[in-house]
Amino acid sequence: MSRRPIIQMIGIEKIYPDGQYALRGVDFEVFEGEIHGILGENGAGKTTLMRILYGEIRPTRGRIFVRGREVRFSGPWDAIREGIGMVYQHFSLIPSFTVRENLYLSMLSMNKKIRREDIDEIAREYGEMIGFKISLDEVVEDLPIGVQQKIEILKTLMRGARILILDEPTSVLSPLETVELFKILRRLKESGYTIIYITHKLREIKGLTDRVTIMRRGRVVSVVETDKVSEEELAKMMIGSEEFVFKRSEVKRKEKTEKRRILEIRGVSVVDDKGVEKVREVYLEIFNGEILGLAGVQGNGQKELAEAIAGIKKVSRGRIFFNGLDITDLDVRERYRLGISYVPDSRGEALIYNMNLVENFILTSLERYMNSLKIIDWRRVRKDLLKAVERFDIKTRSLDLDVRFLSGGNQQKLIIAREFSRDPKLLIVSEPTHGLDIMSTIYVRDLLRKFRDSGRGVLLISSDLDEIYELSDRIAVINRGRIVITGDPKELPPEKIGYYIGI
Amino acid sequence: MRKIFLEEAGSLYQRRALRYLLIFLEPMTAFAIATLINAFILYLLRYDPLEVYSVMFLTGYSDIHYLFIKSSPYIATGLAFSTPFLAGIFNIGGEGQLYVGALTALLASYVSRNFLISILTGSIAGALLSGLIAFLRVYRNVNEVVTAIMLNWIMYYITSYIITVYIYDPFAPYQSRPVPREAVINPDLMFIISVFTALIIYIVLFYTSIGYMMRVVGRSFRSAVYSGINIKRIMILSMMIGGGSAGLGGALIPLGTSPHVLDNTMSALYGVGFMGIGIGLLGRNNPIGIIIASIFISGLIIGGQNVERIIGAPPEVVDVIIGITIVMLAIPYILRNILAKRGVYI
Amino acid sequence: MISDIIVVSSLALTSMTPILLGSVGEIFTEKSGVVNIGIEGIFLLSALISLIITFVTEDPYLGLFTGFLIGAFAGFIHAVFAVYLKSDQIIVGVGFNMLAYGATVLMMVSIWQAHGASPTLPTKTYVISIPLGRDVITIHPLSIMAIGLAILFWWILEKTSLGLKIRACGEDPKSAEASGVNVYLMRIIATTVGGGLAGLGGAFLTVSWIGQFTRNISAGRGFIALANVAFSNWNPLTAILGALIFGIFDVLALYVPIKLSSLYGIVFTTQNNLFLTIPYLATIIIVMIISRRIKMPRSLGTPYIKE
Repeated sequence: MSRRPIIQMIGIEKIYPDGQYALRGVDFEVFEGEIHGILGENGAGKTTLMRILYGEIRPTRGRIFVRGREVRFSGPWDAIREGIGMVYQHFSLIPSFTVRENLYLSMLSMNKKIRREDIDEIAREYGEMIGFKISLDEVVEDLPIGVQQKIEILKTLMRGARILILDEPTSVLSPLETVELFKILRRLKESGYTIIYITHKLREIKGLTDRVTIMRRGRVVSVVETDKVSEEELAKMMIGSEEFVFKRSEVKRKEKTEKRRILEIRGVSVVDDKGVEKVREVYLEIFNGEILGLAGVQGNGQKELAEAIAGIKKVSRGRIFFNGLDITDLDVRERYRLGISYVPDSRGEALIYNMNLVENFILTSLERYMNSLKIIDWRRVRKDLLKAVERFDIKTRSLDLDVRFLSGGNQQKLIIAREFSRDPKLLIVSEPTHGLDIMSTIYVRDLLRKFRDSGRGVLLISSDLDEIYELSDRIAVINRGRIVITGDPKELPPEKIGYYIGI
Repeated sequence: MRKIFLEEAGSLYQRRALRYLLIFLEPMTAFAIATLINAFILYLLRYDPLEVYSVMFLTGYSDIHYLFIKSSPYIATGLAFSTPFLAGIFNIGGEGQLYVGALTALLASYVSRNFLISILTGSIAGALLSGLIAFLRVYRNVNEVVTAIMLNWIMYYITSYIITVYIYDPFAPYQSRPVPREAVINPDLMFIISVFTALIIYIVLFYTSIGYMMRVVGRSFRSAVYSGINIKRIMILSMMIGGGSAGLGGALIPLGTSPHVLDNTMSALYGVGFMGIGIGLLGRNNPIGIIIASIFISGLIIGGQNVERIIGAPPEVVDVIIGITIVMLAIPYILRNILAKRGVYI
Repeated sequence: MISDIIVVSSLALTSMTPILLGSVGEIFTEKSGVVNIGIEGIFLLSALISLIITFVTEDPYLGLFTGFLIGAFAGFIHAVFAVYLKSDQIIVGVGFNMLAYGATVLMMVSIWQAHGASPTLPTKTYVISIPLGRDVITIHPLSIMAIGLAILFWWILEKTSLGLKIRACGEDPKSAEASGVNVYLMRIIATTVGGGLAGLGGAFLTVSWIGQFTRNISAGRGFIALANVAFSNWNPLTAILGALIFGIFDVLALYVPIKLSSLYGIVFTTQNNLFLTIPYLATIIIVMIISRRIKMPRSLGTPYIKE
């Protein structure tokens, strides 16, 4: 490996117009032909730094050198011309277009004279290089996520990129697809490409990269050669607090006195709007005092299953029982009233961003605050909300503030505060810590444990295996709408789970 | 620089004052820009903008009593736009709902000779017509703007047809027979009925569960689904409240304004429904704001009629001003966004 | 009977022209992700201004061209509000329609002191006349051109790189931008050109067809064009068929009472109003029937916000 830096970023600062610091003077260097990891938590500034390198965001201060020459990017186009390409976390393919149309569209920006027919030739050439074959007439949205990602990589290569930036590329992939992706990346490295790999997953850093830059709160904490550090050391650098150590389900909890079934799902299938069967004959049980962790790659029917339990989606087959009562035909509000609570993965769903805290607080418990004339008792809402704000330590300047002005962590706390104050018997919670900083994450996980310990049931849906292991009493794996295995976490090591997630 | 929130500024009362000031400031800025652009158009058409505006603003607001009476149907059509708008459905059919309300109220007055029954009939007719629009939108996914405009035209011709074929006045065949004297209402009562309706809708919107659900549907479809609100029902309901309000406004016109007839070109009704869109937006879709906006725009309309009498420019000059104002108000919270860019959040 | 069909369809060819031009313009606009319900207002403004230009220059073709320019200008303004100011596009359209209605009346009064209708043009654009028995069929070359334009714009949208870029903006502006498409520019171009087509349709109303301007001359045609966009499923070729159907109903509103009175000797005067509802009723019914299968551009009407 040559030791020549192909990219140097010096003293990069980024301050957003509202005064928030994203980057506080970052120096960053990548050698030609290496796979360079950027490790950091959510909000550490990894993506911002890379978007600056890609010309999407302009830095407030700082200089960028590519191959030793200073550059100033006014848009991604300048970056692409320097041979820098970005593979987004959310792909930049147009779902309703065919593969050819997508590739043609992106090539047009490089070469106005290119013809649709030329695309096939170029695509084949680069496809061979990374060992990927695809019919160009396929419509992108009909293809599996893993394939879409390969098209995205192909697209970037076709534009002549020599330096590839990948932003959390495995968050949407199954373990098997991840293995394939890594193969492609290693092949690219052998062909002389430089790869920058953004992630917060330690295992991937260890398994793939040559060197790693660790970021925390807008600063570079350290740059190390990956061979010379352990996962624990990396974790410490990433998180920064010495006293914090990884603990997996260490919290002690009293033995269950009696095992009572809270939820029983019997052979439930759910069909989505397009008529595709997303959940296929699922059988599941949740008992009181337990957290059932539902692991799987996003988009394998988790959301549809959760929505079927909450009553948002109708089931096409099967029955659902809650505390022995058949709730299959009840509507959402009736189920909520019985004591089911659902915290979806997207906060924009559970909260109305341009309504204030008070109005958001009654979204799922309207009945509790209205009298026989259906008049809402706003004063009582405020009183309860104030209590909840104190109890859950929600940081807000006023109850009348629109919730979009709250930080992600505080929004999540507000949702949980609202749902907990309804005193539910069963909590369905999806990706509860996604996008939260470490302190909020710990706090939210503690809340879930306490909730469980008070003798109620939790269905935890998460694509983060660490989270599943940390919290679950039992684990189930969902794959293409089917529950493929359930069992005790002690008897199901991560490798085995990974296998079931990926098959 | 850091975020500054309104909540930090001064005392509670100062904050409230500031917030209300901003609520007023945005529509008024839009209106001011509109008058300037309109002045330029007038100038191009060889009218003296100063003269037009001085007649408009000086004479429009001179008779307060008349101003209030004039504003009554506009309050109703403003509500007809805003109530569904808050629930995320666009009622551009206030005009047709106004016609059908006026016509059925007139017909009911012949039979019942009672103003209350007439008003109720007019309201229900308006509600049914708007309910049809909402029904098609919700259950057949038909764009409500297209249906509403088509229904406006259909109602225009049908009303005109019924007036001239079935209920024409033998002495003036282009217009209807007048409302029976027993069913005629005092103009002051007209205003009271409208304001009362606005207050009721205000309470419904902000203090009842139905109103809350409407506002949730209007702001976030996904959250409404998540919380189990019956979106279809709520949308139809909000549209019917709007249509009922427009029908009420239509009923008030023949019942409350002399000569208590309708004519074949709808001259007393024409444009009142469309103006409701401008009033609703100018009133920031708040019933109280709508009352204020209606009074304000009624002054312009009275002034516009005087402009025609005195200067000869047509009263449609008001449509130009309000049209531009609406376009300006379509920009989302101009001032708020300018302030937000400077780090001040309200 | 056969002569009726021929006469009605030749008349329909005329009445479909503004609807077709408006629809094709709107399809082009909407494919880029912008919705412009101000077609009605564009019809009004360009109908009047093209008439004024024709009166002044005595050249109806210059009038038509002016109509195009007026429409394009209005489209451009709409695009600025939609693209740069992130406005609610429906509200902008509603406001523009109101403004256009007021402004045309204002102009009509100030220029001709006329409150209902303008004077009639001495010279309209060229018309192809074909004698057929007792009737004379008239075909406007612009009607043929409108069909040609529909085909041309279909070709642009489906077969050219510009069309691909425009469609990308309507489907997924974020990805389009990432693929190197200038979303703002594409939306401005599409909305401006689309407005221009509608403007041509408005000019056709006065300069080719009716020969004078009357208050609210467009009479909801702009919205019928919008209905036709949904009917056509955003395909300019299908829009030709749709415009023809809507055009036939437009003709029937006038043709049915005339035919009935000539056949049965009934004289319709005030009852005429009832026949005038035909095109609007037909529009609602047609839209109701087709509404289920429509597939609109996915990002239609939502502003694209660059970071």
